[in-house]
Amino acid sequence: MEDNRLDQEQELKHLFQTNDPVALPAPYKAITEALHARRANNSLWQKPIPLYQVVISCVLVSGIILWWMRQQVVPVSSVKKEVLDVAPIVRRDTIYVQLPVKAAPTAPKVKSVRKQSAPKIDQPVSPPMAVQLPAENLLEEPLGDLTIQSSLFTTKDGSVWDTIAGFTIQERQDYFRFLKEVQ
Amino acid sequence: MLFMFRQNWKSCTDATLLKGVASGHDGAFTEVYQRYYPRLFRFVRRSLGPSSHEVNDLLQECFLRLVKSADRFDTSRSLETFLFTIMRNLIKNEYRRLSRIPEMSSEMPLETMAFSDNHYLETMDTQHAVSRSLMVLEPSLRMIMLLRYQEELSVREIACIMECPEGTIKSRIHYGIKKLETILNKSLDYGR
Repeated sequence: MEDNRLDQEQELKHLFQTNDPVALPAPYKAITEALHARRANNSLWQKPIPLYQVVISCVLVSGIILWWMRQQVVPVSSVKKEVLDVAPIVRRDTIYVQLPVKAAPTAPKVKSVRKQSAPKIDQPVSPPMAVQLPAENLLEEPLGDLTIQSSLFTTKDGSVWDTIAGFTIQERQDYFRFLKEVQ
Repeated sequence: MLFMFRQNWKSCTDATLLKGVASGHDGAFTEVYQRYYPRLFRFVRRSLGPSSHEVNDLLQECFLRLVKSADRFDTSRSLETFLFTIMRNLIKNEYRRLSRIPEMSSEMPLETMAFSDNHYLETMDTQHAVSRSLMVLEPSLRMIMLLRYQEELSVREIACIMECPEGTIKSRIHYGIKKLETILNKSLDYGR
């Protein structure tokens, strides 16, 4: 039954087919004019820019600016690695130094000193003493133009550490004293 | 934006082409024109009859309407359905203008139709007989038969174009086949 119906459909489709050749005339001028009018209306500068595109553009531009500014701050771990390697490192990856790029050439001066091991003091220094000797003052002299942003913290056993190089305050004091003597 | 750089419209889908037309691209329009002009031409010509001189004007009007309303196109429908709907409305308007609708009713005696030409009857093949029989059908039924068996559209698509339920289209097709059968048998008897 179904086959008969399909056969009839096919036969009808065949009977309805026509092979008359069709010449394709050029579209009327009104059509081309309407097309050109459409193109003019859709040009980029006449379309309102969606709000989301504006927001995305602003975020991208500000992101690029922030990234560029971030590149101007050099992490201490990448520039002064030699210095940091001298002493045990405590949370080194959290510390950054505000360091102009032009100051980098001062690094070899410190590097030459590193060959001689820095003296270490066994006894930790008490917290009040650490406060009296801020890291900035200690670092200014041997490292020239470098400005160091550092902070002090106290470990569980009560010793005070400088976050820059993992020195105790006493170790740092002695280390820079040693540097002065070498120079 | 990407349409500006697109060169090969031939491989594009209808939906993409329509977006191109909505953006005013000549290439997209040319491709639509080349794809659908021959089909629409045959549909209009067989709907209105071979003697009509309005075929090309109606087709140009159809494509003009396409360009003007391309941005309002419902993407859930196919471009084919969209174009045939425009064409069907134009043909209806044309019938109205020529006041052909009452004249083309199926009640018209066959003797007044093309089959009165005995010589022609002897020589024409079955396809021509069908084409001539179609002209006896009422216009809307003729359009449905052409959409179904010439353009090979589905019942759903035809229902969309004719703006009536699928069930109605099915019964109209069934009625159309019976009607054509009767007309063809009568014409053969008349020829003998």
